[in-house]
Amino acid sequence: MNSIGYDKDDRFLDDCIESVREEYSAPEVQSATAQFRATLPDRAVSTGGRFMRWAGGAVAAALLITLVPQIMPGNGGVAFAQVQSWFEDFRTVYTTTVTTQGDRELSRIEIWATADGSMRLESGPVVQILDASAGTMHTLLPGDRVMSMPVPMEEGGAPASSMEWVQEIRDFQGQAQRLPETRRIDGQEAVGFRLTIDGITVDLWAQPETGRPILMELMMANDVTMRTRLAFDQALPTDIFTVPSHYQPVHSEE
Amino acid sequence: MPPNTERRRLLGRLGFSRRGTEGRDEIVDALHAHAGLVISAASRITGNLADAEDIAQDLAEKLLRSPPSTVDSWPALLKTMAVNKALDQLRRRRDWSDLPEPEAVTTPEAELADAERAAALRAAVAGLPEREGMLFSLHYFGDLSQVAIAEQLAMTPNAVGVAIHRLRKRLTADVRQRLGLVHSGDTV
Repeated sequence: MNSIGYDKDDRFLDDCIESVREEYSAPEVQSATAQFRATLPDRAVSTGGRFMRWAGGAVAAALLITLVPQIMPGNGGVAFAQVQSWFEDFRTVYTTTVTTQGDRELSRIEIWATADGSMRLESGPVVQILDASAGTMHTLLPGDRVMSMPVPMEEGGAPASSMEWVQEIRDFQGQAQRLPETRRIDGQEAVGFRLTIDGITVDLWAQPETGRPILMELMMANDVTMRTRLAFDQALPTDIFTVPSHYQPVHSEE
Repeated sequence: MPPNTERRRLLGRLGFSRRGTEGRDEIVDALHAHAGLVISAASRITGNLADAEDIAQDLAEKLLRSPPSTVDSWPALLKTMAVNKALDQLRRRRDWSDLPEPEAVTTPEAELADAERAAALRAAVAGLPEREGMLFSLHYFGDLSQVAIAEQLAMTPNAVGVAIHRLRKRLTADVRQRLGLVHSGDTV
């Protein structure tokens, strides 16, 4: 083939390649990209920093509080130990955690859990269900699909690598300060206790008569606040810890 | 009341493992940042944006299910995965009936529609061996450099360049045949 033919062949193939590359317009590709992005799960945390440990872990954060030496309030009323006891003796707990930066909401996570280890987490389009007895985490995906993966279990039943985080909390040594003013939350008066952990301020608000925790607030750097509403021992729907039967499992392609 | 072990287990589960959260967030961030590259590469190969979205979702599910231990370049990895999945889908197609049957009487190149050219090239690429299909697609549809392709496919950049050069000749002949072109722009 002479050089002219070779150049023609090159241009011919390049024209074919260009036909493929330009088949869809930029706006069409951008629209498809946006639709794909909408299916992606939220980040577990929206900003960096140490509050990562608290994301979705309203009750886990309360574990920290249970490790803090209790203080008797100077003027009577509910003791911090009473507040702590709710995290030990609950049958069910429902939490809603909203993270904001200024007045902008960064994330919203709901968790339902029972004392026997069943758990459901919802954050945006992501739904996860923990089957403690089977050691399996189910993630519900768009299109009525479910992806299941084992949760590595350590001796004693705790998921592997989670104890590292818990141990770090256990190492904290400090004390809870009774806040001087009460606060009205969801139509009821509440008393508050303040802790400072690794530079993060944690306020825990509870019913004055029973010590039942109702709100936990974490104030962090960059005007980031995490507010967790807590509801203990409420009746939970019976099917929230089961994967709907019509969901199709996603299998590995390899 | 649950004993301490049970309480620790429950409370640990309600929080995220720091390591797991960071790895998962890195994957989510990478998918968000390079979503356009994935959709673009996949749609060029499949010729269908809806298929490209499905491929992107499958890719995301796979990464979140089985996170890679180390990633040198997220754009290169995501493009490679997208191209691989798109080529698999392209090869699974059985109906190439939209292509004209090759005829002895040629069609002037100037009269070929872009869609015909695109379809013929896709069919030709789908007919390549797996590695060659990846090489060509990563370079021309995934916009990866020869160096980046070499890293992804465990080749030397020089070998990638030589392979692409040979593939161009092979594909040119194949596409011409599919379109009923006998000679370079000639009309019989």
